[in-house]
Amino acid sequence: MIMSVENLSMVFGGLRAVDDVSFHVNKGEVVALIGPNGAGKTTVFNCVTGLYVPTHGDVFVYDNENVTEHKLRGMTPDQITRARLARTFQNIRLFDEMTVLENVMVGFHVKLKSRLFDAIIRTSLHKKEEKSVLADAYSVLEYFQLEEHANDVARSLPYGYRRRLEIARAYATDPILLLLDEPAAGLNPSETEELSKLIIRLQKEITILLIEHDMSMVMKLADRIYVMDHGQLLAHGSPDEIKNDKDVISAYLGEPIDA
Amino acid sequence: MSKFISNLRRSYRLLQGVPKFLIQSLMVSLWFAILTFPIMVIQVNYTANTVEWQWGRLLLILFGGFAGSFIWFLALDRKDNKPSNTSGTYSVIKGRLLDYYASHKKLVMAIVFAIILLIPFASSSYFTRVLISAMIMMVLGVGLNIVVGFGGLLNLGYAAFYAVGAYTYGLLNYHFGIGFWIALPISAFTSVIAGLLVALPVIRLRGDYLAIITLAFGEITRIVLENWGEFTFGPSGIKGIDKPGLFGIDLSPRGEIIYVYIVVFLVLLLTILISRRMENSRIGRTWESLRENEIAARSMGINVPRTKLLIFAVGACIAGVAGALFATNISYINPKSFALLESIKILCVVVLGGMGSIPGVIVGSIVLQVIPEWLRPLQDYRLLVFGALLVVMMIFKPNGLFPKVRKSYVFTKEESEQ
Ligand SMILES: Nc1ncnc2c1ncn2[C@@H]1O[C@H](COP(=O)(O)OP(=O)(O)OP(=O)(O)O)[C@@H](O)[C@H]1O
Ligand SMILES: [Mg+2]
Repeated sequence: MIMSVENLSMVFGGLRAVDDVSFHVNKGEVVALIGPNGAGKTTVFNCVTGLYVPTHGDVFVYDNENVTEHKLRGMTPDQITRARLARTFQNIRLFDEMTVLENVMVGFHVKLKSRLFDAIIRTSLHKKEEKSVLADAYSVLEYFQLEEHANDVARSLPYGYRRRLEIARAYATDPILLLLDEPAAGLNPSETEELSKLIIRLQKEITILLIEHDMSMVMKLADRIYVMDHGQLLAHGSPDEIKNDKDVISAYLGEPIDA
Repeated sequence: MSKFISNLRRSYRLLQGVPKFLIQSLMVSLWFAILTFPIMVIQVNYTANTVEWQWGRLLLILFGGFAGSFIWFLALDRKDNKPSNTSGTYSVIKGRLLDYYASHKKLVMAIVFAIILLIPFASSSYFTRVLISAMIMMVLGVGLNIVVGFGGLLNLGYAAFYAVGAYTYGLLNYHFGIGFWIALPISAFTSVIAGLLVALPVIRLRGDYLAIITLAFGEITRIVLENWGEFTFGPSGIKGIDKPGLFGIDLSPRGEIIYVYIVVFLVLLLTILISRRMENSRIGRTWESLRENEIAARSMGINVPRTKLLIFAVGACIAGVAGALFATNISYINPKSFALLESIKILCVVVLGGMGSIPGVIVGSIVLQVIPEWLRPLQDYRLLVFGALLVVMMIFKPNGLFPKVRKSYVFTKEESEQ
C-alpha cells in the first residue's frame, strides 16, 4: 500500500463536499476516481495534497524506498510534496511567463539544496546543482517530448502541450504517487491517445491516482476504480465490475459509461 | 420625412469615405469642448458682476483636442498594424550592435565602465550630483524589481525601508560619529529587520491587500519620522551627515563629490551583479514561480511564507543600502524625502523600464530622475507628466521600455546525455 485515505470528510459551510470517504492505493497501480460533476473528487485531491485541511479523517503515505510513513494531516502542501506526492490541476496551473524548461527546473526544487548565499557567491554547490538541474530538466522534457519547446514561455504552448508540461513538472519532483486531475480534459482524441500511452509509461515507475471523465480511457488504464457521488463513495471495483454496477449507472443518469 | 432620411443616408455614406479616426477625433474634441465649456469658456468677472465668454479658448480646445486625439488614434492604428519586418535599417543596425556586443562583451563593458567613471571629472558638480541621485534611484529600482518584478508582491511602501536605511546612518553618524563604511551594513541590517516586521503579518495577503498594507506602512513610517521629535528631529531632519571616508584623506569639495559618485557606482554594480546571480538560481526561480502561480508553487514543494519573507528581506536590504548612500550623498535627510510619492516614483522606474528587467530599471531611472531635472520649470506639472507617461506606456509599450528577455539555455549533446 502506498496511500490510504481514512474516513475523510470536508465540509464547506453546510455542504458536505466529501463525506466519510475511505480508500487506498497500492504500489504500482493506476487507480481512478470517477463521479459526476460536483461529486467531490477535486476536493479529495485538495485534502490529500494539503491545500485544504480536512474536517475529519486523515491520509497516510508509505514510502517503502525510504521506509517512512507520513500522516498528512497538519502538513503543508510543500511538506507533502517532500513526502513525494505530486499533482496536476484540473484548471492548468503553469508558471506562464517562465520558459518550459524553467517550469520543470522549479519542479526539481525539492531535490536541490543550494541557498541564496550559494547563488550570490557562486559556491561549488550552486554551480554543480545548476549544471545537473539543467541536464535533468532537459531529459525530463525529452521524456515528455517537449524538448523542442524548452526555451519557449509556457504561455505560448498549445493546450495539449500545456497539460503535458504540467505532468512533466510534477514528475520532476520525483513522486512515488502522482495525482492527475482530469488530464484528458480538453484534449482531442489523438492527444488523449498519446496521453494514455504516456500514463502507461509512467505507471512503470510511479503509482497513479487519476480523476477522469473520459470513460474509455479510465476503463483502459485503471486497475481499480472508485466512484463518488454527492461526496460519498458509491462503488469500488475493477473496470468490468463498475461498468455493470446499477448504482453507478443511475448516478450517471443512464449514460452508457463504456462510451 | 423620407427625404430627410435619404439625405441622412447619403451624408452618412459620404462620411464613410473619410478616414475613421478623423471622425473619431472630431467627436473627441467636441465632447471635450462640451465637458470643459463651463470652466474654460464661461468666466464670471466678480468685480464687474458680468459673465465673460472666452470663445477664443473654445477654439483652442476644439483644435487642440482634435489634433491631440488625431495623433493618438494615428499612433494606436500604427501600433496595431505594425509591419513585423526585420529588414529596416534601424533593426539591421540594432542587430549588428547586439552581435558586436555579444562577441566582445568584456571589451564593451570595460569601455562603458571607463566612460562612466570618467564622466564626473569632465562634468560640472551639479550634473555629477544629478547622476548620483539617478544611480541611487537605480539601486532602489533593482531592489524593488526583486519584490515586484520577480516576486510579484506589490509593495507601495518601499520608501519606508529606504528611510530606515538613511536614518540609521544619519542617527549613528549624528550621535556616535560612526562613519559611512561601518554604518552601511548596519543600515542594511535595520532595513531587513523593518522588512521582516512588515512582511510577517502580510505574507498571507496578496495583490491589492498587500499593496494597501505596505502603503499604510510607508505612510506610518513617514509620520513617525515627522512626529518623534526627540529621536528623529521631526520635520527638520538631520543635518551635516558625513561623506564616506577614504582612509582619512581630506578631499576637496569637488573631489568629495567625485568620490561619492564612484562609491555609488560601485555599489550599483554590485547590486546588479547580486540581483542577476540571485535571479538565475534555485531560489530566484522560486520567486518567479510564486509570482506566476502561488498554488502551483506550493505544490512544487516551495515554502511560500518563507519565500515571501525572503523576498521582502532582500528588497529591504537593498533599500537600506540605498538609504545610506542617499544620506551620505546629500548630507541632509528629512521625512519629506521618503513620502508616498517617492515609493510611487520607484515603482514607476520599475514599471516604466519593464518589470523584471535591469536595463529597464537603468533607463527608467534616467527618464524619471535625470530628465525631470531639466524640466525644473515644469515642477508643478511633474506629477501630471508622470501619470500621462504611464498611461501612454501602458497602451503602447505594456511590457516597458526594455522588457525582460528570458534567459535561454543552449544544450550540447554531451549535456543532454548526462
Ligand atoms: N473551496 C470551496 N468552498 C466551497 N465549496 C466548495 C469549495 N471547493 C469545492 N466546493 C464544492 O464542493 C463540491 C465538490 O466539488 P469538487 O470540485 O470536488 O467536485 P468534482 O468532483 O471535482 O467535480 P468536477 O468533475 O466538476 O471537477 C461542489 O459542490 C463544489 O461547489
Ligand atoms: Mg474536479
